[in-house]
Amino acid sequence: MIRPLVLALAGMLLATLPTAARAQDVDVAKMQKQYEEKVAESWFTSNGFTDDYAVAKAKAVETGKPIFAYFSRSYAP
Amino acid sequence: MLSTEEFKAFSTEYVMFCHITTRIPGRADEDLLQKKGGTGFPYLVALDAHGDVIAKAKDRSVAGFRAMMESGAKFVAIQAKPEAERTLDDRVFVFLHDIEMEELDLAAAQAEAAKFEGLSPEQKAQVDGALLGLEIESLLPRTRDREEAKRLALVAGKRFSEMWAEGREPKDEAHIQPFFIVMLDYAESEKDAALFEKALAKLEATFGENPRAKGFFDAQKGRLAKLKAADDGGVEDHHEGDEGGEKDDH
Repeated sequence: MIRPLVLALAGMLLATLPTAARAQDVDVAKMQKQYEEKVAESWFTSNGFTDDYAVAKAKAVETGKPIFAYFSRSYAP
Repeated sequence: MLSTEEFKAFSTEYVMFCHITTRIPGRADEDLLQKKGGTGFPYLVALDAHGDVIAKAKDRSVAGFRAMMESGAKFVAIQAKPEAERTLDDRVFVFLHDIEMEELDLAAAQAEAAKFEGLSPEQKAQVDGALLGLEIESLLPRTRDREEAKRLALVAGKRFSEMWAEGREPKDEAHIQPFFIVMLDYAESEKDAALFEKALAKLEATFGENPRAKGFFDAQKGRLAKLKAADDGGVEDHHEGDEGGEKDDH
């Protein structure tokens, strides 16, 4: 009796794993797309923004100018 | 506003950095907002070349951004001076900056302020205003327990009403708001319609033109009308929990 139950549970688990993995893939892909859309917006591209922190600090050292830092998010409007 | 010509011109004067929280697992600097003291979006600050926060935006306009960047640059320039070369104006600027950056609590700020000698009336007003702001913040409730927060707010409201009677009141919007709002609650708890009305007038003088505050002011006028009616003996005292104030029309 136990073995069929274990097998059934294992089967259920195996059946859900690919779905869960796909869901995570979809979420990351969606987040990546949202991020790419954000940095493609005209306010970002036309005002000399970088979203690379190390690059911003290096530019500040090179130019002697302070950094205007705008913190935003791409996962929600 | 980031799409305006005015902002475009501003952007040529500084290093423009936009940090984007993406929630993509493992992404570099994903937690930078928290590391720089941000708690919500958007968060706007000036950073030096090391990435340290040197100023925070007080208002979201290009003029406000420019003031923030200039304040940050001035702070960096003063920090670069040997201590002996710093003027009184420099020291007051750094004092006010440190309070704004939340690097001084009330006790530390009072100790620093006590070292100042020969302040001009304008400098003294700035220092006193900053200390008053810290004192107000230190009295405001910091608990998630709603009942305890209510109790502490009444204690703060009582203290604020005493400070006001002594001629000490905040001049900046950030402190006018909690100072007088908490006082409203205290005045209501004491059934002091006169104090409630005076505190409400102070709030209206500062925020009355703001269309988003209309609902708030309408509600406070309702509270004031009830207090006045109770003063006149026209309405029975209401009890805690009757905040809706509506009675059945029997």
